[in-house]
Amino acid sequence: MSYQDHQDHDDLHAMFDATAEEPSDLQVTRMAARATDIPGRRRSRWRWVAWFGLPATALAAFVVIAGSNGQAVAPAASVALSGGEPGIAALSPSSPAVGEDEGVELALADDELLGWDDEGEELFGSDMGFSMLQGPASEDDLDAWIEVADALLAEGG
Amino acid sequence: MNSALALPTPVAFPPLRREKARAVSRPAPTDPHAVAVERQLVRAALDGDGKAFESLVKPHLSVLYRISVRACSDSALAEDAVQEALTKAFEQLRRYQPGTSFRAFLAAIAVQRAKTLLRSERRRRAREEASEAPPSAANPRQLVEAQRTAVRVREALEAMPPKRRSAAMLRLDAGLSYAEIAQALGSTEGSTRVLVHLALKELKARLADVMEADAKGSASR
Repeated sequence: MSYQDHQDHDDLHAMFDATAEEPSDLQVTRMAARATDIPGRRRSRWRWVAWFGLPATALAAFVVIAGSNGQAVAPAASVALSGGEPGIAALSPSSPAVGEDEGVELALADDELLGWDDEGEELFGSDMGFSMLQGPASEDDLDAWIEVADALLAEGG
Repeated sequence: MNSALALPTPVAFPPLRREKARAVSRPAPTDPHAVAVERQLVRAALDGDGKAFESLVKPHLSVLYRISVRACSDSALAEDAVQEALTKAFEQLRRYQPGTSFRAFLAAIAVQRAKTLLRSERRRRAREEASEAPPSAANPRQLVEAQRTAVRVREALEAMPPKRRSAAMLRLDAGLSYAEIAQALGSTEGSTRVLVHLALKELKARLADVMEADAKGSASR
């Protein structure tokens, strides 16, 4: 680096120093106080994530899907929850086109394809399923669950 | 002054001696006791101890604020940005290696946040430019010029490629050493020296007219 370069760097340093803004003592005290709250706040959030975790994610997804697409799609979610294969081509977003109307009729016609298996009924018939359905009574709660799910996915990604 | 003995014109901002430029921070001390204390504080903070986290970050709040306010010119926004940077730092605290530079660790996060602030500030300035009042008695021309210089600096930083901008801010605002900047950017010290040099060269080019005007202003005083 040449002398001129060193000089230029010094000039820039001086310019930055002259145009910089230092915090007042009050500001530093305030920022420090806010910093003190961070660990406690973050830990509470992760406790929430650990407590609700995947069941909340799955249930939130079910509620959103059931609410937007109606009952025909709900069994697909129950199949997903039970770990079964989404066997209905018409209900799979990535499935090849069968003829949309034709596919929907096919889906509605066959209970087995719809995934109304015992496992699905048990989940929703059980106390756990019913009480979890009663959990997020409001949109705010649902948003919180989805936020938790995003955070969990981000943590795992 | 006798023109026959005229000395070279000093620039408006007094050049700093390179050896003592500013409080350019050195790499974190390798004192085992200091490292042990730092490790303990990190562990306690991760366990939820707010006071421990405050002890870790308080010495560096000025630097974080300086970086943030460089990007947004609003003190309240800058404080919020510092808070966000500290939150991010806490989330990544497990990755921090005690004994390396905690200042570099924090400053790297702050310059990342500054990127968003710079963009928002540019939009805000664009909206306000039409309503900018001429200097008044309560707002002396000198003060306005200083503010304009700060705006030009901010615009120059915003126009730079991200890594060069980060290098410039870490060197000029955070006062980090090359080793610390290398740590912050995840690079080698050699590459960092080149990057900083290029960054400052670009800044100089972008701000040449401002520096020249200030030099002339200083000469006429």
